[in-house]
Amino acid sequence: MTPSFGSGKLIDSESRDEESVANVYSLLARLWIQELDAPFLKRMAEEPLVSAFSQLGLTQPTESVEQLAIEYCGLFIGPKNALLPMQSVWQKTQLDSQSASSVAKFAELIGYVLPAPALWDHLGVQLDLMSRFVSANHFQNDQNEEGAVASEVANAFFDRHLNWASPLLLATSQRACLPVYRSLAEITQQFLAMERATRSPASL
Amino acid sequence: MSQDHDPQSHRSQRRRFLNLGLATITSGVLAIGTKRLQSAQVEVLSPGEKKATTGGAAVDQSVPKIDMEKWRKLKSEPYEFGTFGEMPGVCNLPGPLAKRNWPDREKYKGAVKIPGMCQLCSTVCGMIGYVKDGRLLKVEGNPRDPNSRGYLCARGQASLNHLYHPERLLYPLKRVGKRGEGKWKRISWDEALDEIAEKLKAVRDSGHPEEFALHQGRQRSKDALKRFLDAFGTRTQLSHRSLCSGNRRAANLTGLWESDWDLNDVEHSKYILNFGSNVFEAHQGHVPFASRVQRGRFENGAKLVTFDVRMSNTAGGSDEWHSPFPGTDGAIALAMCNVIISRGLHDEQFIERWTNVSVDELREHLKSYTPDWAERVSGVAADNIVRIATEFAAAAPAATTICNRGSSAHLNGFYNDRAIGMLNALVGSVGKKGGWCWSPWGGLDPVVKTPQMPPGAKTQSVLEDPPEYPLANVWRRMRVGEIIYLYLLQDRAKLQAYMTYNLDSPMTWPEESMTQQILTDESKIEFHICINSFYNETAHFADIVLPWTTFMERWDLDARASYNLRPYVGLRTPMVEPLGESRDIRDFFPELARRIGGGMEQWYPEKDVKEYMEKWASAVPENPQTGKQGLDRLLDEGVWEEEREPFYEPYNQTLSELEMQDAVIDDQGMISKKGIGIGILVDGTPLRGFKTPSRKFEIRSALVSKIGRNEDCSELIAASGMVKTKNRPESHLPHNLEIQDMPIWFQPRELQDLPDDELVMTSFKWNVHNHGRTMNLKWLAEIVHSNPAWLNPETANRFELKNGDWIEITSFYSRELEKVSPHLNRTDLPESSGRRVVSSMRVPVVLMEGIHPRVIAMSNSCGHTQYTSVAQARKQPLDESQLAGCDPKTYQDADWQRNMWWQDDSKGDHTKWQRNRGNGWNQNKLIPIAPDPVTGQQAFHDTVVRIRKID
Repeated sequence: MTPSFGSGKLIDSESRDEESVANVYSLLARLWIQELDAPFLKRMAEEPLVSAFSQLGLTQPTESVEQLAIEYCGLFIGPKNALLPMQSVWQKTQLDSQSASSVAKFAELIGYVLPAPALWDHLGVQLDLMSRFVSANHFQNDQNEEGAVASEVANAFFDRHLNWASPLLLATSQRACLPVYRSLAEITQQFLAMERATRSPASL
Repeated sequence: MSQDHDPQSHRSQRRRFLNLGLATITSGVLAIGTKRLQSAQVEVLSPGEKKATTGGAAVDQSVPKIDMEKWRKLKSEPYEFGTFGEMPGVCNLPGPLAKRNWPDREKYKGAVKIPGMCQLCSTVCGMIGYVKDGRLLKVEGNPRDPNSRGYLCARGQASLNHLYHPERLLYPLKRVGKRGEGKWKRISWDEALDEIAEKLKAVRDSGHPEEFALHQGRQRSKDALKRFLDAFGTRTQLSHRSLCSGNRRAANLTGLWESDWDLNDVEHSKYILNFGSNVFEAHQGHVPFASRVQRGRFENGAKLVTFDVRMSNTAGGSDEWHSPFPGTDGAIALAMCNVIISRGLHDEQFIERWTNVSVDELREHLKSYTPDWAERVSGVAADNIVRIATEFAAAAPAATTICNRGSSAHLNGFYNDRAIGMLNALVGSVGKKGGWCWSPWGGLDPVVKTPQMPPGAKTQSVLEDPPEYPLANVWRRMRVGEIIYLYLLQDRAKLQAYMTYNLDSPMTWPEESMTQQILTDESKIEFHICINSFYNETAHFADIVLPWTTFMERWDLDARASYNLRPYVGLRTPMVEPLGESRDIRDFFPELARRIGGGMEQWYPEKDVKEYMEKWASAVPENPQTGKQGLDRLLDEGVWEEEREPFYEPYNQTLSELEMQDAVIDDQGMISKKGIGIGILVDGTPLRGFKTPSRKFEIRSALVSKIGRNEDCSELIAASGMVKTKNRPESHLPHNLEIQDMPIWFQPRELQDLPDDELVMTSFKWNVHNHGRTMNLKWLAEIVHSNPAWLNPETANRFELKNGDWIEITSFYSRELEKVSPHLNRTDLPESSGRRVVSSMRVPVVLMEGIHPRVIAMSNSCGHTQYTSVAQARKQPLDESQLAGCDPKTYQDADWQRNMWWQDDSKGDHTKWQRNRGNGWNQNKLIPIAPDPVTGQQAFHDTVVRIRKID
């Protein structure tokens, strides 16, 4: 981060950064956890998102909602040969390993409840939960002890539950037929790499 | 400086992401309602200020504050990081280091034990699950289960593979593209149920509700299925019973009427005579039965003699093994009966008092079935037949036969099993301790009653009740599963909607290619809903796939016919929350019924499944020590067994005064009440007798003869008291069959004088698999994943084959059935030397002394084309296009490399094939549809084949 001095500016710019980062996590969560639907596609194609995506290299989808849904299903759901975006599958070759219950425990820290049946260690859920931790960090930053804990939690969560995804993202970028999912994987990879570089390693 | 290390580049990238974040806020895109996740808009708020900005989802809207206490606790708990850089695999095997820290005493600390019941086969052994943090860590047998007594076989142990398999179905899917193309999209449960309800409503409104069929594979939620189908109004409930045990059940019912299942009291036996059952590996009562056989042998000194064409693990573990020609078990049994009667070894009193034939009649009937004759047809030495019969009779009444598909899955199987059953009657071991027993409780203790069920549907369909098979549905609905697709092909029926439930018919049904042909054809099956936990061969041909919970994620009350000869109640519990969006039929059938409407909804008044279970289990009495009763007691103990005497000699039970009140006794001594038989007077004492028309064990059955001729049997039914037994309906009228009233034996035409260049193909099952549902489980697939054909070395020499050579097997339709069941004939199929060909297949051979020289045997369970990568033994997708651009390294993971060593890399070139590689071959490509004309039992063990060596 570029150091900045002066009263308030640092705090203002940093807190807006945190807020933006939180929103990127939320946005990526949305893209991973569910198919692209018509309302979402519409917003993606409008300003300010269309430019923001374009700057990052995310290809605007031109396919129909159905075609996108088929691609999503084939990539991330199955019914066979899918790249299931669940941490347990990539690290323990099964569903619902200890990583899932660990995510659930992190979720309990802030009362995060999954609104629909889902697997805790789905990448989308992890991204969404991370956005909450970043928000917590953002709002508690000015209170020393709580701010430190919020930061510690965010870093710990990232280290434990967002550091695993590189092989998934690589495989997705290689296997996706539609450009939007290829570029989503690449963007997610870049974002997480960027985040990794700025976060302290967790020491639990 | 490279871009990667260029701070300027990093800052630019960061700015782009921050812009994206700002754009997200400005666009409000996250406020758009989503089906699965609502993300809160985040605004700059003062700490503690709340703002709800989402579309109403159940998400915590407040400014997130960390719970410090929970954080401190979380930090202190150990967490095992996984390894990186791997492709998704399929349940690690423990690996070589597993036992360094075994047993790990910390692993189960804090785990909660939850009862359940396995469902990886039909034995439904009780189990206990160790659950911690909402995850199942381990399973073991429930020692309280009165049937399985704490044992859990390899299949049950692989439950963890089943529950946590990464290729489980987790979401409803809808087909996109052609049926069988394999293209899907995810839909919500609401969308799925709406579409299904619309289609089913249309079926009902068409006036042909019978054109909605539910086709079950292994099911243990009988009440849930019956409730739904009866509420809808269709009786087209199809099953696999005739592929399993139709003949055995019919044979038992012929003698007993009140039970289709013999429960041989082997634990107390002195002699166990086994005709074709592989009880140590596969049997509907597998673990409970096998453990009792061994107790009988090692604690009671019982001798186990096995007749089997192949040295199964049961045969190999027996005291004697004899290998008869296929389908001659009945001949051997009749010859043994001949020996017993002719040498005066029979129990005269039992025969005269408790069977409906006299000793003289038996002597006359059996006189031609001599040991020498049996030797000629079976190949088993006459001396051995005589000796074994003598030993069997000497051990009686603590002597019993056992039989299963080995004797019954033949075109003469109904008669084979009747002859075998007769042995017990001749030596008086029927119903005796250590003898051939049964119980009237085929499953749950009748004390537990389901909430009120709808009235039974009254529709008729040839698919559910084919008119050609007289005994298929007389006592029980056994149906004739294997003709379903043929009858659809022949346009004898039509299905507007077809719901499959835990079924894998393309894998497990005979004539695999025809099954696939019909399942693909939308003019024959207009709409197909598949309910399953995995994407199997059936799901591949569906229109909508619904993800079903595993047996560790749902409720049932369940029980098998118990070898304790007492009824019991077992509980299947959701040990963990269902994964993903998987749901049980108990959970979504009520919703579906409400959507279909038209009165269906009234049969689902309970608010949830647990309320239904509470009602159902309410009669389970209180445990005086714990004070728990009903469902609470079952949740605590897993099972409840009624305290009562074992069901020995029920025929000798005296009728009570109350039972005799208003009873009438005729001049034959038959006791009835309001025209319904209840007992028999024996030496002046009113006894229960058998629940048959004669009140005796029916060696001679008037019913089967009359039913075969479509004659009225109302009087016989009334005399038996088994009033659920029915005459054949009018639709059966032109289809008469001569069924012998006594046990006889005949040999199907094609097996008579079998030419030297022909063999008989039989099938078998290994102890780690069931027929179609276990090959996806890695722990089991590693043990058995291939099924070369077994040949005797003598046979191999004749065909100039050595171990590991490849052959082409060509199978033929039955000549017997061409004559007797012409409705099965298909003229569109090729012929070879005057025989109609079913199919050909190329497989390797393995030479075994332990197989009859005229037999070629293959195990079933192998040869999946779907059902996960494990069942297909394939590390990588077959479709190369899915690998386009991929780095091959990312498709290797330690688990595959170390433990999925059996992938076959020969690409179909048999000269490059390595032994024990690949996923085997589906034997059902070769096996024709071959229903026994009497009951419809599929004759899995009668297929005539020719083989030739492939160079």
